[in-house]
Amino acid sequence: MKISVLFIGLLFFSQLAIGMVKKNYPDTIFDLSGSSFEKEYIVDVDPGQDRFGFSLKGKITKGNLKVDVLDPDGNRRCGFGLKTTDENGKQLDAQAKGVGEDFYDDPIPGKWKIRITSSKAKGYLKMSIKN
Amino acid sequence: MGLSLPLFRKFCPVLCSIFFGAYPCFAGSISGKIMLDSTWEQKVFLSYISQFSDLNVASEQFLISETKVAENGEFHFEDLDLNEGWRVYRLHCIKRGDPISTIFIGGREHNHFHFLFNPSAEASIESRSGNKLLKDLEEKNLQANKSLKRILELEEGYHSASRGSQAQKEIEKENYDKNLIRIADAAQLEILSLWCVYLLDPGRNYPAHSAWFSEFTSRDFDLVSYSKPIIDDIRSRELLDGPIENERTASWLVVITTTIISLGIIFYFAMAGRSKSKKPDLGSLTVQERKVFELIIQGKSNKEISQALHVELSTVKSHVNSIFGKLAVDSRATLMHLWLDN
Repeated sequence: MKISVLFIGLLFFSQLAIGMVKKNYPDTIFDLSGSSFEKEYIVDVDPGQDRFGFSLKGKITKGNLKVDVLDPDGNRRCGFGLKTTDENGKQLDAQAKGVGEDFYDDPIPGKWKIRITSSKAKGYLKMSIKN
Repeated sequence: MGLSLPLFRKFCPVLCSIFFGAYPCFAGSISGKIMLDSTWEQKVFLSYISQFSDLNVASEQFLISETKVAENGEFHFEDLDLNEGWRVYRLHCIKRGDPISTIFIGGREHNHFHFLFNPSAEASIESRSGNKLLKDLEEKNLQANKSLKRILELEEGYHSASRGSQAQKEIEKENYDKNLIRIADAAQLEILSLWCVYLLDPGRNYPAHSAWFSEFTSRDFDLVSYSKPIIDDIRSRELLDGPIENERTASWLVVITTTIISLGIIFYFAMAGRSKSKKPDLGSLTVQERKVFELIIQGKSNKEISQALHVELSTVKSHVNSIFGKLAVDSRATLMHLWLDN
């Protein structure tokens, strides 16, 4: 019992120490279940940070999905849209895949936003931040 | 001595117009050379992009044709049934196993190339660097694409240089906007003007160039699918930014009304709380609940009450919950206050 408590404590503090040294943005996978939503994922880029990058991969079989990456000045820097329905909401006999990748040397410091807009999208979106 | 194919294509619409009075669709041709390694499908897909917001959107509905890439990398689209005038098209390739509607943006696997095309012209698309990256593709025949390339280089330059102090950034932004406005005014092709205004992003930059945007909406446009979203965007900004005084008055009215309603709600609940605390309805309690109530206000615990009344502990708990519900209280302390106030 004591050993397991000690082990958990050690694990917790080691993770805390790693987090203090480097900002940790683990890969995130959004499971898109067919609902509609708009979410903003904020990534902090510190002043003096020499590199910042991201990779977004999405694949849907139903609905529409839009992913935009906005820099702290509000400029759209990357992003893609996936459509499997037409303007009238009719399902097209298709699936759609999108990948958006970018790296910046000496990136603009501040809050970068990854905006995800799902319109009944069914599929997944994987987000990797290299910070 | 027959007519050569390009010459025939050039005069075909004219001849058609003489004999049939109109030629709604044109047979265009697009050819080029692209080197794809074995990880790619040896095919090229052509899509028609009918509005700028779809530039980075993958959808089967945009696809108009596909063709195979020969071993030497050459491909050719012919007899394309296209709309009249200069419009935006996208050429793209896919990795083996990927859906046809796939878009890669950035990185080494960037898989598409946008260009302008008019079906009475002939487009030739090849890599400018000779390497295998699709992001290095270039349309070499048409002046329209040379102009588009300059606009896109302007955009790329602005984004890659957007560091430094706030003052520097503002100067860069001002120069970028001025250049786009200058090109939009001078461009001979409507599609190029519209592309510049799309990059100017009226939704965000309307206040900085409101007069120019308003003048822009008064122009006549043939390419409605491209111009309408932009003009709608500008007009919605005009409505938002126009009657500033009225908007301010309206926002003050909203603040005052919300405050009055909020105060009213708070007052109502405060009064309701007071009236409740003044008039506890002890008559609503059953005989057994009254006994429990009296023992509670004597400070007895549930266990002591169960011993005093010779009932199960669970029964006491049930009575206590029922008393709390009937007298609208959530704790013994509140119950005690209620009793003391009366």
